[in-house]
Amino acid sequence: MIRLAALACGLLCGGGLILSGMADPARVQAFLRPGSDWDPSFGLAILAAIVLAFLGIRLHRRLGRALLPGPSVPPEAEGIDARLVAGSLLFGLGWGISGYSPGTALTAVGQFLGDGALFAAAALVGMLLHDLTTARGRATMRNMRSRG
Amino acid sequence: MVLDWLSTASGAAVMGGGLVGLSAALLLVLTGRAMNMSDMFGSLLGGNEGLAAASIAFLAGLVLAPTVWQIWVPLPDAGGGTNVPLVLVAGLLAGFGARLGGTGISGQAILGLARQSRRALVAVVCMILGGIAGVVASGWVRSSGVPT
Repeated sequence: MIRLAALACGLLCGGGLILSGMADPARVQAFLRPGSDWDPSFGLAILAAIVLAFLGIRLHRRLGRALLPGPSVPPEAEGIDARLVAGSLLFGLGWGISGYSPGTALTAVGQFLGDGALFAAAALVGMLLHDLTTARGRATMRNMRSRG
Repeated sequence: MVLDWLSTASGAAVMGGGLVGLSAALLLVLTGRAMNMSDMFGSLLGGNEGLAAASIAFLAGLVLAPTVWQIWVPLPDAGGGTNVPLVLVAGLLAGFGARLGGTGISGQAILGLARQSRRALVAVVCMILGGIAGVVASGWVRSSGVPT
């Protein structure tokens, strides 16, 4: 049931990404590129998404638990550290260079666009590189293996 | 008037962004999960089995979305001009950064800001700064005539 709900949410989200233009790398880059032809539409889409997400968070808090039974979800990370700053800068660099993020790369895969698939594959390799080269990443991998 | 506005880029951005936010709200209320697509994408590498299954179902929805949505919404033209080395570098950076900082656009800029999290605000500012640098750098590389 949880998987079905997640699949439906993914479909809805993907549709929203396409309709809004957020899935379009050129639109993302037009939002990030400074200059006179600045295109605010990506920001507008994010603002609209924040409003709906805010309502969802309020409702979820009022309900006190998820409507569907399932494994417990770890709480969101809090606190600000160097890893957050460095990770977000690196992430942003890749986002700006290509106009893709992992989510929009997957909708591009669904449109049979080669660069979406290329970005997604490279992002997986980047994640694996992180896990292999940092002590924290190696610890995560050990935990995964010991859990099977 | 309203219909005219909806057919503009800004109108579509607000509508589509609203759908993305609705998807985040539904996922949270139904399953208790945060819609952090980069984090979900990372679960392709393994991790907590119970949580990963729903994440992968969501990602499948993203991939299937263009096929389902073109029944109602015509897909926008795919932008041409893939620069393979740039997309590869971008994917590596974004994947490494996402894992290092536990960061991503949807998780931080939509849900994080909707939660009024300071951590998310720092992440979003860093991603936008990185994004500006990335889009400027990719413009230089493209205009300097590196083979595409």
